[in-house]
Amino acid sequence: MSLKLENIHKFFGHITALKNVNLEVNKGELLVILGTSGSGKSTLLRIISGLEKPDKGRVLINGRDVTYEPPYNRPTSMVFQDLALFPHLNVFENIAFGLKIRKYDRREVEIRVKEVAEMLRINDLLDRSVAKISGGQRQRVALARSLVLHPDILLLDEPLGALDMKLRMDMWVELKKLQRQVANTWVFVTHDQHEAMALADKIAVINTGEIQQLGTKDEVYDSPASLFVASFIGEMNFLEGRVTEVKGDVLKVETPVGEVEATMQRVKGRPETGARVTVGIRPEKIQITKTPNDCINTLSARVSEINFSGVLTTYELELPDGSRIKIQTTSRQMGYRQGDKVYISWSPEDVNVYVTQ
Amino acid sequence: MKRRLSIYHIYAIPTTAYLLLFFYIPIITIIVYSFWIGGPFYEFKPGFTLENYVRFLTSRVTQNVMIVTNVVAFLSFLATLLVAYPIAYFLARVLKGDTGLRIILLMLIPLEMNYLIRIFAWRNILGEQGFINNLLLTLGIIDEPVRIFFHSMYAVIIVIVHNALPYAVFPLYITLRSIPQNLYQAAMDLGSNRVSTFFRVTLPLSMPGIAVAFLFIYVPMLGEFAIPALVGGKTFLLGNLITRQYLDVGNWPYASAATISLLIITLIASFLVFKYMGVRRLYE
Repeated sequence: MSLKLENIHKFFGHITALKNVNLEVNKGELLVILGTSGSGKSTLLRIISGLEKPDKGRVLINGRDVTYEPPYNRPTSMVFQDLALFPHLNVFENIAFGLKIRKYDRREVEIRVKEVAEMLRINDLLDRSVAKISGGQRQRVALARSLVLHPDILLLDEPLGALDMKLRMDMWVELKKLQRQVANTWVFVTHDQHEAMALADKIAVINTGEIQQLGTKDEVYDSPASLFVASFIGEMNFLEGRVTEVKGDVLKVETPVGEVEATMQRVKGRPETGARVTVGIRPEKIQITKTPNDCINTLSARVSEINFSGVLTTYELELPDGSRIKIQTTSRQMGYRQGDKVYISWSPEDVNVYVTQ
Repeated sequence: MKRRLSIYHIYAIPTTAYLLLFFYIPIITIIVYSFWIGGPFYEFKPGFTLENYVRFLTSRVTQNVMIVTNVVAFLSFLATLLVAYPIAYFLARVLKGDTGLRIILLMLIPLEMNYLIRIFAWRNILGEQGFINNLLLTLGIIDEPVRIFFHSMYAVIIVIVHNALPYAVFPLYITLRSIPQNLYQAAMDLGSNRVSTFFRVTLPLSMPGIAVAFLFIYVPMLGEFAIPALVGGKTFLLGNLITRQYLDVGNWPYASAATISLLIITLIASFLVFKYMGVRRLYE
C-alpha cells in the first residue's frame, strides 16, 4: 500500500473540514479526489503533504507513519493550484530547487533536470524567466519541479485550473501517459468530473468533509453510492416514489408517472415495502421509440426540446405529470420533432435506487 | 507638432513652481558656482574652471574622507538592517492582519520630534554622565567613565541606526508581506527546512526591500553632517567637509564642486541599486 489514510479528522474552529476519512491507494495508481469547493479535498491533500496536520487519525506512506513529519521529511511532492513557482529563479533553477537542497552535485542536477525537462518538452525554456513563459509552460515547470525528485507520491491540487478547455483536454492525455511512464502514485484533486473521468484509475468523491464513494471509474459512474454522487458525476434523471414490492431480485417502485422495476444489486440500502425512494436513470440508458414496446419500465412522453451538440443529441421529454426527463444518444437521425408523442423504456439493471427516508 | 495649451495645464503650475523654486534653481546655482574660480574667505570670482573638481577628486584628504564616509555609511546600513530585518520579519510574518502596520505607525511617532533633539537625547544614554556609563560604574565593571560610546564612530552608527530604523522596517515589511505564502510551502514541500527556506526564498525575495532600505540609509549618510558633528567626536565625514568649506572656509566654488560630485555618485549608486536589485518589482 503506497498511501493509507486512517480515520482522518480535521477541524477549523467549529467547522469540521474532514470527518473520518479513510483511503487506500496502491503503488502506481492515480487517485482523483473529486469534490466541490469547500468539500475538504484540498485540506486532505495538504494533510498528505504535511502542510497541514490532522486533528485525529494517521497518515501512512509505504507503511511508515508520517502523520507528524514535516513536509520536508516526506517522500511526497505537491503541484500547487497556483503553481507557486519561485519568481526569483529561472526555469532551470526552479526545477533544480529540490535537488540542490538534497545536495546533489552539479553534474547530477544538470542530468536530472534535463531528463525531466525533455520528458515534459520544456528543454528549450530552461534559461527563461518563469514570468516570461505561457500558462501551459508554467504548468509543466511546476510538474517538472516535483517529478525531478522522483517522489513516491505526487500530489496535484487542481493544477490545470488556469488553462482553457482545449489545452486541459490535451494535458489530460499527456498527464495520464506521464503517470504511466514514471509509475509512481498520483493523487489529483479536482472539482471537474470530466477531468476526474479522464485521469483516474480510482475516484474518491468527497462532500462536506466525508468520502462518499471510493471506487473505479466504472463503479462510481454505473453504481453511484449515494444521491450526491449520482447527481455530481455525469447526468442522472431522478424520479421520486414509494416501494410497492420487494421480491427476490426485483424491487418495484410506484412513481407519479408509472411503475419502475429495478434489480436488487443496484439498490442502495435495504428499503422495505412502503419506503420512500429516489430512482435514478442515466440519460444514455434510456431508449426512445415511436410505439410502446413490451419492455417493463415503459412510459409515455412528449418531446419538448432537441439539442444536437456534435457527438451527442440530447432530448428533453415531458412526462404526463409535467416533470422532465433527459435522454442522450449518439445517433442523429431519429426523425423526432418537438411535440411528438413517444415511448421511453429502460432495463431494470440500469436503475439505481436510493432510500430517501 | 503643436501642443495646444488647455485650461487643465493650470493644475501643473503649483508643482512646477515648487520644483523650480526649491530644486532646479538651487541645483543650477550650485552647478554654476562649482565652475567658478575658488578661494578661501569668500574670495571667489565668476569664471569657468574644472580646478575645483580636479582638486576635490584627486586630493588625498578628500579621498580619505570619502573612504571613511562610505565605510561609516555601509556599516550603518548593515547595522540598521541587522536590527530592522528581524523586526520586519516578526511584524510581517508572525503577527496576523494589520497589527504589524499599526506598530510601524507607532515607530514613526518619535520621528515627529526634532532631529537635533533626538540626537542630543543620546547624550543621556551614551555620554560620560549617561545611562550606560552610570550602569557600568554602579555594577563595578569600570572604575571611571569611558568615552568609546560617545564622541566616536560607534556613537555615529548607533544614532543612525536609531534614526533610520523605521525607514528600513517599512520597506522590508512591505516586501515580506508581498511574498505569497505558498512559496514558503512549496519550498518546504520540495525538501527545504525553515532555515534553508529563509536563505533560498525569503531573503532573495526581500531584496527589493533591502535595496530601498539601502537607498534610504546609505545615500543620506553620504551627506550627513549633524550626527558626526554632535556625537561623532573626531569622525569627519563628507558632509562635514562640505559644510566646513561653505561656512568656515568660505570657498563656495570648491564646496559646490564637492556637492555636485557627491550628487553624481549618489545618482549612480541609486541607479545601480534600482537596476540590479529588483526594486521595480515592488511597484509592479
